[in-house]
Order: sequence, then C-alpha cells, then structure tokens
Amino acid sequence: VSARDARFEALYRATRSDVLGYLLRRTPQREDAADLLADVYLTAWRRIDDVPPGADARLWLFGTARRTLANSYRADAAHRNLADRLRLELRASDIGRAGLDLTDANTAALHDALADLEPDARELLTLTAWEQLTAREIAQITGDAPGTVRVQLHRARAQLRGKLARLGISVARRGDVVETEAGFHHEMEAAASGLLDADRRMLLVEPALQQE
Amino acid sequence: MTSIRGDEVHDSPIGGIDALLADANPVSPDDLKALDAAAGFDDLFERILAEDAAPRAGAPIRRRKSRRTIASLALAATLLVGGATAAAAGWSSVHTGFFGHEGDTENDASEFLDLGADDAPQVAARLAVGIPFAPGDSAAAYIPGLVSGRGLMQADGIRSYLTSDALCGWWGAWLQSDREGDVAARARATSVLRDAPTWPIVVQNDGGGTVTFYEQIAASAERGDGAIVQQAFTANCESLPRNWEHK
Repeated sequence: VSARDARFEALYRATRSDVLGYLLRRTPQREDAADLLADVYLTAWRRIDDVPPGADARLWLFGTARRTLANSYRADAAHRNLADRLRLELRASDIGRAGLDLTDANTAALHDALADLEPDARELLTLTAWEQLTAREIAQITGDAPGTVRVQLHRARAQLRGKLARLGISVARRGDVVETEAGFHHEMEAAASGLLDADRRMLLVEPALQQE
Repeated sequence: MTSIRGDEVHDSPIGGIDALLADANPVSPDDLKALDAAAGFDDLFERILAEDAAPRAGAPIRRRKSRRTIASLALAATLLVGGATAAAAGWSSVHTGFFGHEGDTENDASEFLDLGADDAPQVAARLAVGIPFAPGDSAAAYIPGLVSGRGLMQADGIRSYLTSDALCGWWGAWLQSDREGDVAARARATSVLRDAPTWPIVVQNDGGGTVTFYEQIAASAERGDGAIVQQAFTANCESLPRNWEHK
C-alpha cells in the first residue's frame, strides 16, 4: 500500500459520513447521494496530492461536494455505478427526509421557510446549523472572506426570521422582550398569559452558549 | 400586531435560529453514525481505487477483495428489506438481499447479485445454462471477466452479458469459417445469428436497438457479406477470449 493509498483511505474513513450527510441533506432522492459521494471521492482520489492536510481536508471535501451538487445532478461516477451497493443501502434505509417529522407544524414551517430562501442564504444557514461549521470554515469552502460570510449569515438569519414571521412563527430567545397589543412583556409572561395572537406561535430557544 | 423585540441572534454557530435549524436537521449525526458501518462504503472505496488504478497499470480492472466486517454485515442486515446477506468469515455470498423496484427502467424486481462474491462464478455458470456458445467456446471463458470488478447485477443482466459474449464467439466463428471456406461451419453460425434477435433474453432487454442491430448482422451473414459482422466483432469483441478459434 503506497503512502498515497494510505492517505486516501484515512481521509475516506474519517470523512465519508460527514460528506454523505452533506449530500443527503441536499438531495431529493437519498440514493442519489451515493453517486454524488462516489464522484466527490473519485475527485479526491485523483487529486489527493492537492487535498490540504489536517482538518482542512474535510473542508476541501465539502467544497468539492458543493461543486458536485451544483455542476451535475447525475454524477460522473453514476455512469460507472461505483456506488451501486451504497445506493441500494440508502434506498432501503430510513435515513434522510423520511425520518424527519414534517407533521410537526414548526418543523414543516421551518423547512418551508428555508426552501423559500435564496440558495446561497440557505446554504450558509444549513452549513452552520447542520454541518456545524463556523463562519471561518464556511469561508474556506466558499472562497469568501470570513467577515463577508458573517455579514451574509446575519442577513440570511434575518431573512429566515422574516419568512417564519410570515408563516406565523416568531422566534425569540429567553430574555427577549415581546411587544404585544397589550404592551411590552417578558417573553415567558407573554407566552403564559396568552397575549400572543391565537394563530401565532412563538418558539423559545436557548441563548447562545458558545461564541465562535 | 405581535412582534418580537430583543437582541438580534448573533453569529454564533449555535443558539437562536441556528438551534431551531439544528433541530430540523433532516439527517441527524446519530443516523450517520449508524450508517458509517454500511458495507457500501467499503465497496465504494475499493471500486474508486480500482477505477483509477486499472488505466494506469494498463490492465483490466480487478476489484480487490472487499473488506466486509461483521459490523458492516450486521448493519446491512438491519438495513435490508426482507433480505439476508449470507456471509461467513472469509466467505461471501452472491446474495445481497437487495431487490429491484417494479417500474424502474434500468432493472427488474429480482435480487441484485454481488459479482465480487466468492460464489459469483458458480452462480454465473448456472445462469449461463441454455445460452448457445460457438464450438470450442463456453461461458467459463467469459465468467472471469464478468465477475471482475463489476459490482451488482441482476440475474437477467448476467444472462444478457453472457449472451452478448456468446454472440461475439459466433461472430468470430462465422468470420473464421468464412475465411477458411468451411461452408458447414459458416452455415451453422449463420443459423444461430439468424435466431439471436428472437432469443427471449435479447428481446426483453432490448432498450436501445439491440434486436435491430442483431438483425442487421444476421442479414449480413446470410448474404455472405462479412463487412458488418467484422465491424460488430471489432467494435465489441476484440478484447474477449477466442476459444472458438480452436474448435
């Protein structure tokens, strides 16, 4: 086994689930994520000498996965059926959207609002929330400056909050002051006393626990 | 009008609207962790290496033995729908437990068979029974090529593959007998080529003009015109074994 082979194998084993997760979250048919995964790692294998060392390798793969998704729905590797076994396993599994409770009104509304966003805004938000990437890491993937990504993220969150508001969902954090027709109230008091409109819901979330 | 006033959600990776989104993650980290032992990952890894290694080495793609682990098999058994992946330590079965879906255009509802499994050559040999091979030729000549790095295939796909190989043998035999002036051998080959477009395995898998192609070759052979037969042989069969040469 050459050093090149060993490096690719280590990279593949360490990152394959994360990259598959990224593709599954963005692919309507979950089994297609297998073909896309094959394309990503075929690229990585052929360009293994260009893959950066350490933790940056994972970000390089996310970037490759992002381009693979954008450039070709039917991945090149699909034509060679490299991932046919994984494809069948994914098809037989419940992983992906089938496992998400879209009967929950809040979850469904959130996905509707998310789908209504511009693709770039949606990508920034989901890279943050689903792939747990920081603005600096996202900047490495998109090629933007970290500061630019932070600004774009801020705007994307505001846009999503606006979309949710139009769907009747307000987002507050504990400690927020809520303005109702009866005046200003602490969010807990407003929620408990029914001061919010009957057809509106307020989601309470924990304050941020960690700074980047 | 109800509105929310308070601190804007900041850019922290968690908290605020990010926490809501994280709760609505369609693929949870736990799901991915469970899937990480899927046999398909190992299979894909082997095939990516084989995909690129073969052209560099100038040799046919040869799939390395898949490193199936007990864990991956256990997961596969969990994932499979009504199937059992029969495997024991050091031995793997052609049966995957994966079945095609009715209505798909590229497959039928039968089981996908693992051509990399230890018993794949025996299963392919059984599926080849009834396929007419040219004198001196046999399925055994082609099965090593079939099972070499070709992943999953359904039974009809295997029969279809070996039927194409058999026809290569007949085209070769026809061309050879024509060159050698062996009238009887050429008549025998012509007869087979005439029937080939009507073989059930050919007809049922005809999705792109295969029957018409075989009819054109048969007509060419019946006319005694070897040009199209030679063209078909050159385009499809040059790299295959030539056991029919030594009938």
